[in-house]
Amino acid sequence: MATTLRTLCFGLAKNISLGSSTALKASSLGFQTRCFHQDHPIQQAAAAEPVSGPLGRHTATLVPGDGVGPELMGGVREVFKAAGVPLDFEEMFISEVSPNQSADLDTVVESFMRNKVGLKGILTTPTTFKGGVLETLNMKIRRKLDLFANVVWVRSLPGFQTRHNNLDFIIIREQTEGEYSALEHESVPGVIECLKIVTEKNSMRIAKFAFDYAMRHNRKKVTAVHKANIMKLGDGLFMRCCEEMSKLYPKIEFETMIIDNCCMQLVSNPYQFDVMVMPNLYGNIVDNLAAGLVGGAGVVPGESYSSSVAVFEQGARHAFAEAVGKDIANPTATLLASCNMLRHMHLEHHARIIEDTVLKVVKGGKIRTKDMGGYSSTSDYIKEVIHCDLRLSGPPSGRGADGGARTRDRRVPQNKKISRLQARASDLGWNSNPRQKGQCRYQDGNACSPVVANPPQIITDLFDADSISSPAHGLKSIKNLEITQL
Amino acid sequence: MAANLRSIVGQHICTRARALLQGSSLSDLQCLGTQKRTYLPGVAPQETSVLAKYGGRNTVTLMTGDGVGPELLSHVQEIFRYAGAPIDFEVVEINASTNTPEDMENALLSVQRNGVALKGNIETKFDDPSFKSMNVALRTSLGLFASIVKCKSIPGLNLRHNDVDCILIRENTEGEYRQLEHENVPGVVESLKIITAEKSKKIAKFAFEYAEHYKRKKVTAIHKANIMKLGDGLFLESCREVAKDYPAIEFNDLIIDNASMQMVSRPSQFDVLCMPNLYGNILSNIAAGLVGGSGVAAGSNFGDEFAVFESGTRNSGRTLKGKNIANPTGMLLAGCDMLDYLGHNQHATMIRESVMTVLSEKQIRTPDIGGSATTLDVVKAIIDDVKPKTLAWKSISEHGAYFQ
Repeated sequence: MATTLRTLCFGLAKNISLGSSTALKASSLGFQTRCFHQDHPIQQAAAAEPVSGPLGRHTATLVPGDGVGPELMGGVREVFKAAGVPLDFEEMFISEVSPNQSADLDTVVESFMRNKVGLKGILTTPTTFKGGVLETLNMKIRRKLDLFANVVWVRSLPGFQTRHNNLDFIIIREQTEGEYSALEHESVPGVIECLKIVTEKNSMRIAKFAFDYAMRHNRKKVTAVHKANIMKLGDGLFMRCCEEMSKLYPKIEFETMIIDNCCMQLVSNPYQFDVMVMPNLYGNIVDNLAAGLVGGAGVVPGESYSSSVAVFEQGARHAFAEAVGKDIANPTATLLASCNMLRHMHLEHHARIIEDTVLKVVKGGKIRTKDMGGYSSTSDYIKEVIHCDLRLSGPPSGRGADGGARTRDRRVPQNKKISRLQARASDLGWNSNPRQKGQCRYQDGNACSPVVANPPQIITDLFDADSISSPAHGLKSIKNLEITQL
Repeated sequence: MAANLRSIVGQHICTRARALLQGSSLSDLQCLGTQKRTYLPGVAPQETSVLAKYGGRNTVTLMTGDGVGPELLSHVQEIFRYAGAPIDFEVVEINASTNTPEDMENALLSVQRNGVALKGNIETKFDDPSFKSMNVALRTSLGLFASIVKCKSIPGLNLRHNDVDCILIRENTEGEYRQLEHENVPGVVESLKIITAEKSKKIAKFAFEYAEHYKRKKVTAIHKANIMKLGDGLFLESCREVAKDYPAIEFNDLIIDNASMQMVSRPSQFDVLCMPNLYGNILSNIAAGLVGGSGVAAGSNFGDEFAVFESGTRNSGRTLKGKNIANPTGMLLAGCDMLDYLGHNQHATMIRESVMTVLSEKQIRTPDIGGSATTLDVVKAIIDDVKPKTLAWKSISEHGAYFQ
């Protein structure tokens, strides 16, 4: 009785407070709230109403990074401003390749520690050693902040065709020790020893993180990747720690896999993976491999965690220095990472608006950067996101999704009509809740859940022509770009 | 020459390696609480090996319990959401009807994973001797040795006493609750009450540390050492011994019967109370009754590693179930204590203030504390009070302005 009342009450409140475009969502949520035990309705509802911290505004540290970082971060700022995100950035430039303009390491670390959240571009690390300290700037930051876990959630973007579609798995990487210890020395001239450090403490910690992450996102399986057949002690320790930790999580399946086999499986049948946990270097390689599966460094967001700090960045770390000033970099990864950041800060509402829009732009297929096979510039992309954003979240314009939208008329600015339809579709779908009842988080043509079975078909119908028909020239440019970027 | 160089390089590497092994896992800036484990709220352990805390967000186990537990906990979730508290809940359904070892095991594992739980009370059937209390099982297997009930008068409530402000700290694992009972001879039942010096000292130390941390003045030990000269005598002796280490805090002791009388006649004399298990149970119910009943007091349980938060008096409120009149205050305050424990003091203070505003100033109260509002009314009022404090709404209007 009480819960029903409550449902009614909150359901009504939501209906009133929201624009008509999301009314459908709200009412369906109201219905779901009734079943309290079904885990997520509350968090799902969180997307419906804006919430922020006690001080009203948040502050996050922003490290633009090298290469195209500053351009992309400028785009993020613009989008945030347009979406009215209650967030201030504390920007500091730090770089290993241009040390003269770089801020002090301690200042940056202090800023991250204070704000607890940050958005970070990629810091280029030179490959040559000119003497001095072996440890790279990236590693210094990671160690100081104790960012031990790196997460890359590999997901295919709806409407963006790659060799494998509908991918959805998570790579978790230990990133403070292992091969990255920066302990190298020449014991005898011509012989170099390079120490790989594996500790029980850090292995247990990353294993716990992986399982906790799997629990929180309703995942079913954790795969530990290692090379314990060769490094019986080092990787063996890592594997045993994962095994031990798995006993605390009886509901999650646990398996181990050797890194070489894992790479082969990833390129031949990546659908078998769910959550993967691995030591530092393997993680680095697999992150990049997996990013390549769904479209390259420009489309996959990543995040790093310590117990109190979260830093959001690109999944595959490439500064893309060749593209500086050319306005061709792909801002998708950075934008999605920034959405993850907002979601982490409880700004689900804004995260949802922006993420919806970015995916819509990708799916729309009209505005695509070179690496995705299009001709658009970074600034075009950002502009498109901002304008779609207006349509999605602004006051309802009165132009509904009528039958007219289904006819494919090239002269009509399609996006407007599509955005309505898609807003409807996304109401039912992919963004609000990861993997609930086994559905893919990003719904694509292949609808995994019964709820989204219908609307995506309409949409794929509408989009197929646009998104796949990238001319040969576009494809060639993808290839070139891939070579330079990776 | 080369050997010399090598040894220098080698030394350098050794120091680096040592530094890496020692220091890499925890940065210098945040290692408070790792060396010396402390049980006190607000000084929560920072290690992720205990808490599921990543990037400042905690995952917390939510045990639904019986009676009004599920309702109240869903209200707590709702209010936390509006307050933007960085908490993710892992809901574990556990109540008297799911009394299988697997369910119990699942719940325990979940608390072990997350380190912290918020819990509704689970009913214990007392007519069936084979039915072991799940609440007790939970406490013993998680090693939750200390239970705290905070009783503080809410200003504006029309109650007999308006100056109650006491913390009742209770030994939670031994004493009368060891469930050691047997029938020696037909018609004669022996029930064993166990008191150990180790646990008595531990709880006394806990009480004094708590008093020190929250700047309390006095600790009172409650016992019945005049009758149980050995058992309660040991407890009292342990308290006295620990008290010597804390000269700044006043220490006295009271016999339980006298303490009960004093509690109802002049409760303002009490500050922090330290008790064995059963006395703690009785006295905390009395104290909770003084400040408005079981719906108002917040409770928490602490162990060496884990913490479980619940309403102060452990009633499940079966009769109130589904009637929309249960008082959400106690559970909410317990939730705020949990936020404090996890270090989210800002959110905790904000919610607590809103609760007090609603109860004292806006006077929206449930029937048990003399009001006529429903649970929902109260929750709605609290949410309305919390909302403007988060101010995200403002940014939405800014958003509109950007395009005009």
